[in-house]
Amino acid sequence: MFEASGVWCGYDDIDVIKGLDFSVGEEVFAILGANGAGKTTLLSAIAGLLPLTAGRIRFGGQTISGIAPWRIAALGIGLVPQERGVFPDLTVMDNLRVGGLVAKGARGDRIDEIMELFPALADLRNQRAGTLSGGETKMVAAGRALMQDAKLLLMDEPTAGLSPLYVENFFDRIREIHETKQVAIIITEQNATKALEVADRAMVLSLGEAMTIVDAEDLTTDQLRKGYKI
Amino acid sequence: MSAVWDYLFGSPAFLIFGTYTLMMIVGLGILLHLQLGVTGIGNFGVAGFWGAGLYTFGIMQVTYDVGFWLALLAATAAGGVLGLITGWVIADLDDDGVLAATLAVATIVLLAIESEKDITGGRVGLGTIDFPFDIGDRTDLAWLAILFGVTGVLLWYARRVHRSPYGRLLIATGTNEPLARSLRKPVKRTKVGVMALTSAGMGALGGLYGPIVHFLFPTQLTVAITVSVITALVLGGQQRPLGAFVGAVLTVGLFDIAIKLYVPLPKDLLEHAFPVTKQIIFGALLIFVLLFRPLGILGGMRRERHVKGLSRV
Amino acid sequence: MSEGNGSTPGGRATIRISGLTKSFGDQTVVNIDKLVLGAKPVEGLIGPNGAGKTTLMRLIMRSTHADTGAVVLEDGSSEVMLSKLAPHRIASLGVVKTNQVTQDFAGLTIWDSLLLAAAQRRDERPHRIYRERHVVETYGEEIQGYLDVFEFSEPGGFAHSAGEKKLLDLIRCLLLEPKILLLDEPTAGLSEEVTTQVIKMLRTKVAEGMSVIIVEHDLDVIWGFSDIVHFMAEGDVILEGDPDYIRAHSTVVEKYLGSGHV
Repeated sequence: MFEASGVWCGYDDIDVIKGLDFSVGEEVFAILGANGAGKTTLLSAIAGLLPLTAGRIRFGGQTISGIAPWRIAALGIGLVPQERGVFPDLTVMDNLRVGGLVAKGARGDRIDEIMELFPALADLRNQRAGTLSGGETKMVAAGRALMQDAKLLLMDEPTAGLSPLYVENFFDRIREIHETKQVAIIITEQNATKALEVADRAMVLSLGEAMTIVDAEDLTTDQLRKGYKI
Repeated sequence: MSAVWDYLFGSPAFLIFGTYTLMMIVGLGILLHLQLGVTGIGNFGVAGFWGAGLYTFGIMQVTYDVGFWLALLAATAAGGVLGLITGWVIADLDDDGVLAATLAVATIVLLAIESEKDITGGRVGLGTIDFPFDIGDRTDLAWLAILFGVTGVLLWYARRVHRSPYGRLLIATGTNEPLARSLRKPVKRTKVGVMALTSAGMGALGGLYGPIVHFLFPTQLTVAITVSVITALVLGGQQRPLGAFVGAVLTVGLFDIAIKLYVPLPKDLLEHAFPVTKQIIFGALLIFVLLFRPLGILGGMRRERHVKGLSRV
Repeated sequence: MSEGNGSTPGGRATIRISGLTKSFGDQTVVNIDKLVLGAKPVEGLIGPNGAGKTTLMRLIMRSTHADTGAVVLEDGSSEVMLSKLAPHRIASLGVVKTNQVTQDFAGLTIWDSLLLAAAQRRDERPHRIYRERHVVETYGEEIQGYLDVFEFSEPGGFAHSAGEKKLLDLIRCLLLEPKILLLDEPTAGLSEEVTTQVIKMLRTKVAEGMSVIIVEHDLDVIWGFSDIVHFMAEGDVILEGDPDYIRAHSTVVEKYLGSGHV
């Protein structure tokens, strides 16, 4: 359903992603790599926030590289960025509603579903998103992306800088979202262990190049160390 | 020949007064160029620094009967001290803050002059101020020559700044403060310094304007003078020393001198429709320039030329 | 790696950090009890995302302010409290940092930018309007030396690409003749060839007595270049040692990859 072929992109004239080929089906796909490997850049490019310098990205039988970010969102790709994933001056509910604006169909049901998925949000529904904790903010951002009726969620290091308790819980939710809502998920992580517990397949990214793409359970520590250069 | 002479210089008083104004705008424009175009300080309070000099000069001459040179020195110092304080206040503000704060300074100066009637004469005015010398019919012209000279010196200084390490420091400060700091440049001191220096110049120009008007009124230092200077500079090219000159000739020179003198407009039109039309044309011109040539008619700095000349500085 | 030729009597200048903390909101980003940087010629600073490396560097340079703690520069017999100084004073004392994000002066050419870096305070006074000749004569040769090593597409004009701006940033810093140079991802985005040139240039400077503290994503650069590596995680330096020791340490692997991969 998702396919990237020969993808190059970067900032100014610096290439960050250097010729990536991979495809993602109805699965949880983990992109692992050290700082600076290009994980965030790759997700931004998929979401249309950054133009490709070469290559092509296809989604649901359609080429999406080169079209406007909001149209990519409307096609069902939801980005949960690492930072600034919510509108700080809007309430939790309004943040979710904004996500619903690009999707077709009834929104009320979907909000209830998201509240079921993240019960903590129910009590905070009228609170301004800017006053939430880091973990709660991540939940709102994920909920907002789900409101888009996303078929593919892009999650950029969703647990970076959060407390261990929350991390555990969030990874459980990722699996749940995938299974109950039939959403494919691409998740980037530096901490490989956690991501590999929920992922079906994984790619190790090293300075913009794919070192390996394998089933999550087959990924060896040596392959990871090579990718991270440790 | 004498017909042409009469046509061009038939109203010498008007022509001379118009040129005084033109020179003031150019002089202030060159100083604003150093603030805005080079150091990136958007001073919207030019009238305040200039006015502080003008009134200090007036008070010194009229109230304290101080001689010309001392009064001019006081006017310069007044502008400089005001610039120093203003620079210190605005050094850490963002662009919008600088605009608001400098406008506030000009407003404070104006309000202080209006309200401190005992010292400034308030709206009744303060006078009279005379030229420091009297050579009969030629006094006006001589003063104009002096103003030309002063403006010339300012222009020369501004051009030298562009070719000096000091100018480079100012440009660096104006374009990337954190980077300048990381290269051990004292950014705040640099900004306060350039504000003090250039505002002292504005104060001095204010002092030199005193004898021209003879009588000082608060209405002489409203925001209108600031707007004229900014319009001229932005139109001509804020990053170029000659920018204010080009802009001032095209605005004040063309509309307030040339057309008024040489185009036989009916008196009624000249008095009512002309000033309004003029402002509309200035506004349209400014929008046009900002859209199609944002750095003004002369364009941006040409530093690469300077590099080529480095081997022979 | 040769030890410097002792340009300072008491050995290399060091940065001594004690009780340094910095939080953003409820998140503690840096929390270092004791740390000495700069004792060895080249020191690497590594750690997973969010370890606090960049924040630590910013705290040393005072581009962000610490909540508590002290940063002291010890140079021979003199001690200066860096954590009380303005950023430009820290740079004057010889502690200089390159920029992670590309930085440039929009209006200045390559030569301008380098002359600016080299020029001293006394050259930049408002009345010294004929000082350019002196500055060019004093520093021109040194600048030309750098421009001979590093290639710019238009040396007489502006830096065009992000790569050129990155190089320019480094040369500016070197012109300040730092005692301690902090490098924040100096080779990110540079080609392999230029990276090699940069490292070679840095080695020359190190041999002349400069100390380097380097943060770099490409860990191969760290392993090959550093004399000692400080490993940061969760805001603190938790391991210090030579590159081989750090590289093989189970804690490092765990912090990067997670506990299942030791």
